[in-house]
Amino acid sequence: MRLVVLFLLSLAASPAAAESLVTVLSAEEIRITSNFTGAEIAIFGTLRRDAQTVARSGPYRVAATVIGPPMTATTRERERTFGIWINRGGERLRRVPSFYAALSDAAFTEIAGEALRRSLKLGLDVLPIGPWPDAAPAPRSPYEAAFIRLMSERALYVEDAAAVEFLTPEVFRAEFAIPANVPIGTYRLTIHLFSGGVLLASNEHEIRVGKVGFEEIITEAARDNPIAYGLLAVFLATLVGWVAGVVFRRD
Amino acid sequence: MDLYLPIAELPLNLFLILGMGGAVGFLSGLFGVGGGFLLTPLLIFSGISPAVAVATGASQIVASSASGTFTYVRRSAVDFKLGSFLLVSGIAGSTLGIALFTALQRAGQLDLVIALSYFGFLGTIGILTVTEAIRSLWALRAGARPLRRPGGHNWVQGLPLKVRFRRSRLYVSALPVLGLGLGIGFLGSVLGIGGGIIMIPALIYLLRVPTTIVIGTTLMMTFGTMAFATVMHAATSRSVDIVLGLALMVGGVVGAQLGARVGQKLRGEVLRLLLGLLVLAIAARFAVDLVATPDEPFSIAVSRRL
Repeated sequence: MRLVVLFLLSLAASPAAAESLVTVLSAEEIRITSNFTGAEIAIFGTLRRDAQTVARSGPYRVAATVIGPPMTATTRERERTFGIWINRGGERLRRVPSFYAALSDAAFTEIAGEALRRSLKLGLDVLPIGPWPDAAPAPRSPYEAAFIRLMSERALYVEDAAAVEFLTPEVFRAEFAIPANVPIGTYRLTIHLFSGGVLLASNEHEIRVGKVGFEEIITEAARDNPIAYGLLAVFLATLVGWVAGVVFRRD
Repeated sequence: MDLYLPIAELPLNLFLILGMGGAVGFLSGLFGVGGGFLLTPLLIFSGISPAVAVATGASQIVASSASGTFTYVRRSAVDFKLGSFLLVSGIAGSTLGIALFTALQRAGQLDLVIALSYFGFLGTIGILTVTEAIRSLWALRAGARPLRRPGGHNWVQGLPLKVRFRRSRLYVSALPVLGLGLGIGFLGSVLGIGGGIIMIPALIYLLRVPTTIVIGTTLMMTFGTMAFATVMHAATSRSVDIVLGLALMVGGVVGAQLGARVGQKLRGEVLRLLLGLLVLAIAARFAVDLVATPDEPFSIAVSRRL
């Protein structure tokens, strides 16, 4: 119901320009509680043209990226040394997203050229994850390729060219899943509108993923008062042990 | 029914956790060992990071050894003097172990060292335990009573700095006692094991401590050292998951009581044989993992988030 109202409001108040894009999310906050097993977020959007809009050569295409908080990850490879498998080589990847999703309604290569996609970080093949993310693009090292593959297997790096669906020529819907082992923090969702390889409009949203309630208290206690937390763990353990001894005592 | 673990940051089936705790507790009650050597690998195989597995496993051992310690103290089957010598050196060893643990984590070689250590030590203990148990059973079959001579002489008796441990009827050098405690505390904090599996044979065969005292005294030392290790792990790597720990403990203490009851019905030598075989099986599993070609040679290690 809230979505419908928002749509109507947006239809009423928009500047006269080229295409405009209005988007809304099903949730802007993911709360992790004790029975969290993952979540799904849906994006709804509408594009509008007015009398001054130029006629476009190609169909409208919508693509979105979801980028999670940055992390530093080291990818290592085991090699057979003296008969056993030991971690030998490795590459440290700085400031890579801990979660990444690329969604669209057509193959990414059809939507925009590589240079544009690289600047928008649209697509796993152009995602900057080398040791120096702002440097010029270079072919991926085996460690970087392995990193992307492993993150994809854990559903933390996702590329879905069929995730966006146009319900009418002006209204579209997209959906993506956040897995259970997702990192806490602020996620940036950016939705782009293209036509004929040209970027027409973009919208940005923020999604906050955090623990609430009991889980939040525990995590903060472990982080901010570690010794008290440790002593509490020991106290509880001793108590459980003592109670069990009393309950099960036979003599 | 899934339970979200706030420190491990992933959900696990609650019944799986209770079952793991129960199985490990059962073994601990049966053999009188902490069970950490089984619990830590089980947690790691369930997808929990090694740091959280070791640290939370330590807290679970606190619970199971607490339960046993109180029982043995009530029966006056604990040598407090011996236990405190072991405890003090155990805490020192624990501190060294946690320093090494953190360094290995940063170098990316923690998994390898854990696997090699489990393989080496458990392999040795397993072989020793099995051969001793078989020898005892053979002697029993031949009609001879297995001789246990507390205070008997071996090379350990030649060491200096002797201390009298009245409760165990021992007059032995403090050096092997402190060395043993140091070693066990060190191993325990790196591998997430209580050390009873190594301590009990060492106390019986090396120091000739009477069997009635051994288990209670070991439990006391395990309790103290693991309590210390839990607090240290919480302070350094923030990886003790209280929710996971509590669920494991509940399963564990119930399992331990059942195990103790079953254990009383079996002969000591048979129990030791079974324990030795179990230990060897785990050592073999680690060996296989080290040598077999992995499905996935690459791995990702995440440094703490920015």
